[in-house]
Amino acid sequence: MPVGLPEFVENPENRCPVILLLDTSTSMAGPPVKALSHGVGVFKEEVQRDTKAALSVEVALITFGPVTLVEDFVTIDQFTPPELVADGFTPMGEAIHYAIDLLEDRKETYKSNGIQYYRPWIFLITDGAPTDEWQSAAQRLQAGDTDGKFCFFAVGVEGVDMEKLKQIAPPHRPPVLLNGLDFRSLFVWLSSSMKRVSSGRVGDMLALPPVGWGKITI
Amino acid sequence: MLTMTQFSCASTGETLDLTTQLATSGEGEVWRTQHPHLLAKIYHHPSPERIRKLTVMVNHPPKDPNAHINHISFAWPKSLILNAQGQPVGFLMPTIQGSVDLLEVYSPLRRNRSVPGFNWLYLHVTAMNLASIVWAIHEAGYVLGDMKPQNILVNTCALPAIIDTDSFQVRDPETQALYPCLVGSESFTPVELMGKDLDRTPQTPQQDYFRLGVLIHLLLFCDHPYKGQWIGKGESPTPNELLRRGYWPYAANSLIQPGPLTIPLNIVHPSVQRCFQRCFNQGHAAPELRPTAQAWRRALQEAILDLQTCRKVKHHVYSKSYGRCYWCDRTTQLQVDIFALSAPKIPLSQKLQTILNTHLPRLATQLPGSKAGHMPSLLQFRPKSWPRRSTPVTQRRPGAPQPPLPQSPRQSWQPPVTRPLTQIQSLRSASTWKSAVAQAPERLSGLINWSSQHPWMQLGALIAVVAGSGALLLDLSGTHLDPANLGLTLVGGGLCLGLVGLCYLLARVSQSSRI
Repeated sequence: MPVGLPEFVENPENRCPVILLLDTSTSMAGPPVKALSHGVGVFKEEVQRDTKAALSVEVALITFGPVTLVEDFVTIDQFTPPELVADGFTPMGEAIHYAIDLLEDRKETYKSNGIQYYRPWIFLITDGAPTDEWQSAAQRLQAGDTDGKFCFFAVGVEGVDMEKLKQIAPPHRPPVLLNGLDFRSLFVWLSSSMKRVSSGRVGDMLALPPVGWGKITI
Repeated sequence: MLTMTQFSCASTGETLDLTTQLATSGEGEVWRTQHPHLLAKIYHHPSPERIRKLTVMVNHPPKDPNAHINHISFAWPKSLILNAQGQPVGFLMPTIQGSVDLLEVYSPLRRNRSVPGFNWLYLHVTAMNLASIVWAIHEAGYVLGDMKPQNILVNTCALPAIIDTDSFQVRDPETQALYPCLVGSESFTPVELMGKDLDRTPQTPQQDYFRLGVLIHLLLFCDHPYKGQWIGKGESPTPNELLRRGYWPYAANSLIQPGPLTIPLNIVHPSVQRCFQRCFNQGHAAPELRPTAQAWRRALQEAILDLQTCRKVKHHVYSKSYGRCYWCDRTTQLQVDIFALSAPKIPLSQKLQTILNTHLPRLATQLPGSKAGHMPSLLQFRPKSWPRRSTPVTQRRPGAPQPPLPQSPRQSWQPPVTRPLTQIQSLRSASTWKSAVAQAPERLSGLINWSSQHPWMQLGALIAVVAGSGALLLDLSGTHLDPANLGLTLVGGGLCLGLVGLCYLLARVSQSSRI
């Protein structure tokens, strides 16, 4: 019996997979990583308010520096927001590859169980520059985004190397610079976007709600 | 956020006191009022067109097919609400109490937490009742438009209620002006409406028939129809794209086939299977071929009469036409029972089993015939409406309305453990003492016919019998026994044990009679 099967039997809802790809390098130590941990908690709370979204949204959490799978895909009610610890380098390239591989595996699981899913999201939050080879990762993610395999969002925190991030992120969705440490607003926005996707409301433009927690740099 | 300006009811002039906010959305806010049975919806931007639409709705409400059993089938606008300046800004509607979202009953995970006991029989009845309500709304000239689980509430009697009625498509019967339905939901939008501007597209009941088909599928199969194993190249398209192409597992040349978790279509009654096939195959791109709400209702009625409880697992219900309990097979195959999760904590008593097994066939004679213009009443599982022993079914005139029920079905939610079975409790308490006496032998035989689930009763009765007979024997032969102390001790001990056993039995009897 493959792992994960009972959860699909009890809950066959179409899934909204989300990967949170979080930078926990040394530079994030102190208030930034605390605010980030808190923000992830807010995300869970907000999504759980909507019963349908609570059944649909699945979260995986990957931190890097070093690349660690903190939590594999689980539905939001089983997701436990961890206390993040900041310590390490910023192997962003490796982290991106890992995230895309994890997503492909998850899609295979969905396929073999006959579960449908909406377009997955990969959400990268970083405050620095990659310390490893990132060009191949950037190519792979841009191709995947353009092909409609997933939606990649990059968010930079104060101190980020925005130029590098712009080269990594897909050209039609440039990275956003966070307002200070306002992770809370970021995650509230992410949760309401997830709720919109899982409710599939027609008659609303499926454009994203106004971003109040950061600004898009050109 | 509303400031507490003075609101008043347009029809009575009464001042309204908005007490607590229940919900807020892009278009308005819903508030409780000083009347517990009335809610207020206040629009953020009450346009003249919106108000005209509401006025038509207030003046031409559809006939509620369940007014006679005190069930509100739709939260219809009763009257406009005026602000302090006397401008209409919203409307009053009845509160739907004691109900949950449709999601809470069709999703196995949610069902376990909210409404355990809502088994396949209840799901069938909910589906049939829903078809009835949709029929009633169409008869009055309205089209629902935004039918989705979030807009349908259900109570423990399997009686649905539609909310968000102000989103319906409304046609003014006097001026023929059309007020369209402005919103829809992806998984419930038929293919001919995809990509269309909803505010400029008139809809017909045939679009609602598609949505009804999807909702009934959700109820009976606990999942959407347009999903399964993707056998095409590359990645599976999005759920909406699968709908657009008509890829459900039973379409010809479908690239979606039944997956390992798909519940097969043939477990439902053949009439219902045919409805699904007409709705999603022939009716996919040809709206006029979709089964109507009445057709769904008729098919589901047949299906309900064909249902049977499983002998092995009491909360499993399957259709006789399938011939075996699919839920037992599925449990064996997948190691998860989606109805085991919904088993009531108190095991079903034999009395309940008798009711389920005998009253289902009786329903055929109870349901009113389809006289022209007569709207059949909803089928609901309330034992009070079932004929009592003193009123044989054959004496009931066909088409006669159900006797009025002393208790309103609208009750606040109680802990799920007791909730689904309180209806049977009301049956017991409503019986006359004569029928109670008549039922006593049956009840006693029910007690004596112990299953292995009642070792306590066995033990208690055994202690009582042994102690009682021992005490009696000792008492009778007491004078011939030697040490009076020993005799007295034994008698006293035996009587005490007997008393304890009897009290325990009484407690079990009253507990099982509450089931």
